[in-house]
Amino acid sequence: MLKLTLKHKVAGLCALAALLPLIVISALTFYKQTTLKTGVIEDMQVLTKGETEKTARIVYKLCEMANRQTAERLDKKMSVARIQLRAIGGLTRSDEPATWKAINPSTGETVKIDLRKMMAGGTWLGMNESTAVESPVIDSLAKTLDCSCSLFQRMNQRGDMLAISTTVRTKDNRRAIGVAIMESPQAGEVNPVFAAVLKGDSYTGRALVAGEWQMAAFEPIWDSPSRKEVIGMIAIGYPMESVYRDTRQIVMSIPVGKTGYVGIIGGKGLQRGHYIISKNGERDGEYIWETRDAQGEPIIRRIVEKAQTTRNGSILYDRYAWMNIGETVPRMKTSALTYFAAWDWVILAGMYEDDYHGVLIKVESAVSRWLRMLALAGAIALIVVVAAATFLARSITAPVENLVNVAQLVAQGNLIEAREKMTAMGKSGKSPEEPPGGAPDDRADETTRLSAAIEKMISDLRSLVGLVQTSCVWLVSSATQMAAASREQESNVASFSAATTQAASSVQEISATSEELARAVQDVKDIATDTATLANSGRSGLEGMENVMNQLADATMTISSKLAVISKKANLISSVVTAISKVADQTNLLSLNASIEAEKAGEQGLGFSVVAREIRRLADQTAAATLDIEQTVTEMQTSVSAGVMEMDKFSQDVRHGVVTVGNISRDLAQIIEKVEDLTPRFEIVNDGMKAQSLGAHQISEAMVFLSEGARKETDSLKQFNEATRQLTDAVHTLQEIAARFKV
Amino acid sequence: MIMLLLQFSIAQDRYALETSQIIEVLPLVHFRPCPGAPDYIAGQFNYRGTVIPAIDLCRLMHGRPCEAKMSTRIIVTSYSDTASGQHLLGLVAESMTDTIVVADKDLKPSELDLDQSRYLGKIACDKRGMIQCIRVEYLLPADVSKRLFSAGKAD
Repeated sequence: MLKLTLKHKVAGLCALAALLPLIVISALTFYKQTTLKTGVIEDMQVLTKGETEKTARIVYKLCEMANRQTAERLDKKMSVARIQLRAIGGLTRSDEPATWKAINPSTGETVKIDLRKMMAGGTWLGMNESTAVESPVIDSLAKTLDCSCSLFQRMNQRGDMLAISTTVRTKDNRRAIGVAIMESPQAGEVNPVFAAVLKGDSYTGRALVAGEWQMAAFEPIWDSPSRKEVIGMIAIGYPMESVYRDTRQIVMSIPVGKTGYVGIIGGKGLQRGHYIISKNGERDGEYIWETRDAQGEPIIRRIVEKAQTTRNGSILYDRYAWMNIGETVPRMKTSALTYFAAWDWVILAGMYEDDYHGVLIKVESAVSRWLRMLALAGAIALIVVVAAATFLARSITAPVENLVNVAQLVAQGNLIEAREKMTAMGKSGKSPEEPPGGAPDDRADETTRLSAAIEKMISDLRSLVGLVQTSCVWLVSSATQMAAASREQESNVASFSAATTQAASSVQEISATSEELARAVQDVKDIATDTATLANSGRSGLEGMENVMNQLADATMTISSKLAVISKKANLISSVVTAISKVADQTNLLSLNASIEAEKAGEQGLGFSVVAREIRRLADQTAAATLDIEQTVTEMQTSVSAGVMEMDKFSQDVRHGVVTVGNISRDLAQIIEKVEDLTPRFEIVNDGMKAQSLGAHQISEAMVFLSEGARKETDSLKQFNEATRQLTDAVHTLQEIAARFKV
Repeated sequence: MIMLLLQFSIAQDRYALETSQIIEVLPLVHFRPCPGAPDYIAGQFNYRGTVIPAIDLCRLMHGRPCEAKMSTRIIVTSYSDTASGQHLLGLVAESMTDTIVVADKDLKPSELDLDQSRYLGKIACDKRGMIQCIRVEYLLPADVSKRLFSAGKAD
């Protein structure tokens, strides 16, 4: 926030209020000016397009109309020509040849060619170049029809035609015979004349006839009388210039906008890029195909190519810079384009953009004049408002500044001077009927009421300060006495409290120690009792064990004796088995010898040999079985003897164990006896300890209570002391403040 | 022609002897030792009143004596010495508990012809493996045979 005086603030506010609407209006006007200008330009462009389009359409229609009328006229004339040709009996070809020099107009080449003579009613049509000599048929036709007339003879199978008799003249005023019309002079294009005539149809339109561009009607000539083959054609027509002479006059007289005009440029072939109709006909026939604008853009080429994309008089637009003869600077131009295909005309209706600059300038100047007026009005308003505001602000701020001075004096404590100043102000500033210091009237303005209130405040302050200064003196003396007394008492209580705390802590220590001791004794006693119980149960367990061991020793003895019996029996079995195996062995041996003997006996021994073998088989089985038994018995014997040995050892261990257990049991009994003796003594010690602990605890509690009382006393004394000090400080402060005032 | 052979073992191998050459099979008896004789001469024993020498075939072929088992037995055979004619001879071998029947054509001659072991004869094959015949007439070398049997002639 800016630091401004009240006066400046009031003046500034007034100025702002006066200027703001003016600034807003100016801004809006400025903004509107831009949109207005854009709108005008857009509207003008739409108008331009409409104007040029309309013109282009009119020209197109004009051309169309001229073309149609000429075509109709020619068709009528052709029907007359047809009747005349029929009247002379048509055209035939004799067998005699004539040599022609055929000129190709597109290349300029000359070819010699022999053609059969073309006859009309027995007369050769001749090879007449001279205009002084009359050509048969053609000249009379031309005279009758009042137009140019030509006869063509077919040159070859392809259909190229040679002008053999014509009224068209060359530049050196000869008849233009020997000029050929070649099929497809330019590759890719079908000559419409050939397309129609070779099919046997007639054709009317723009065409090159004997080296001259004509609006012409063509009709095929059939081989008479068979009418099987097209042998030539007849053409009647007008030169193009005569056809569009009227159209040209009209086109040149059509204005577009203020300075715009209509131009026609050739679109294809030889007339491509040539001015056909220019402004006022000044540049007719000029080759402008390569014309470029400042950027090097080939504008004519662009326009011509663009126009040829239109169909049946549709319109396209182009915008470019163009310079006419007699002008120094090119001007921007907007053109409507269209293409009249029948005549190969590119129609160009153009209008210059600076034609409507006048309107824009008018709009701009109106707006700037308005802005200037606004600025002037603003300046005047500012001067008036600032003068008025300064005067008003001064009348508001003068009394306030005086009051500020008085208030500053009061703040400094200089009440006497403040009162004098107020009195002086009352005399100069107030109306005489209002008493100074009296209750202000409600109707008085704010400044007056404020000064009355300040005056009352000053007088009240004076009486109050006087009272305070007197009271302060005796307050200070009482506070000082109080502080001294309380400090003394505080030191006494503090020393008492310290002594009590020390005693209490000592007693507490004693109490804690004796409690710990009592607990320890109790633990020892418990452990001793547990030991006795455990030892008792151990002894009874050992007794049970001793009994079991004795039983075990007995059982072992029984097992040992039984094992000895088994061993003896096994030995017996073994000897029996041995006996059996001996018998088996003997039997085997016997059977072997028997077999041998039987073999020696030969045939007689055969039966016996079988018996011997059987015996041997039985003996072998017995031996095998015996061997098995023998093995089992041997194993059993080994196991039994091992078992007997083990049992003996075990039995010995058991006996040893019985003795050891007996010893342990005796030792345990002694321990139990001694531990049981200990227990009652522990109990006596424990009881004494408990009694001691309880006494110490009681003392300790009493001490703590005492100490707590002393501490509380100290605290309250301290608080009191603090209060006394604060009181003293407050009184001193009060005294200082009161002293500042000059009463 | 069918033949009956007595089969026995020397160490792990099976051998056989034609029954026509056997006089009797006897259980093992105690031999009276013959000091100075080759170690395969097991000793002498009394056969029905005649003292005859015995050859330990295990010792002869493998250099260890036959084990003293029940199946270890003595074959009493007739031995013909070129110089002194027919004599009785004991052959000790193991596992002598069975006979086998062999066709003559199944016996194939052993291809080996070693001077030291001319006593090994033809070989037959059966399910349990090979079995080889012993030719008693070649068991003893000439000098040993002479020393063993010349004494009897002298008496």
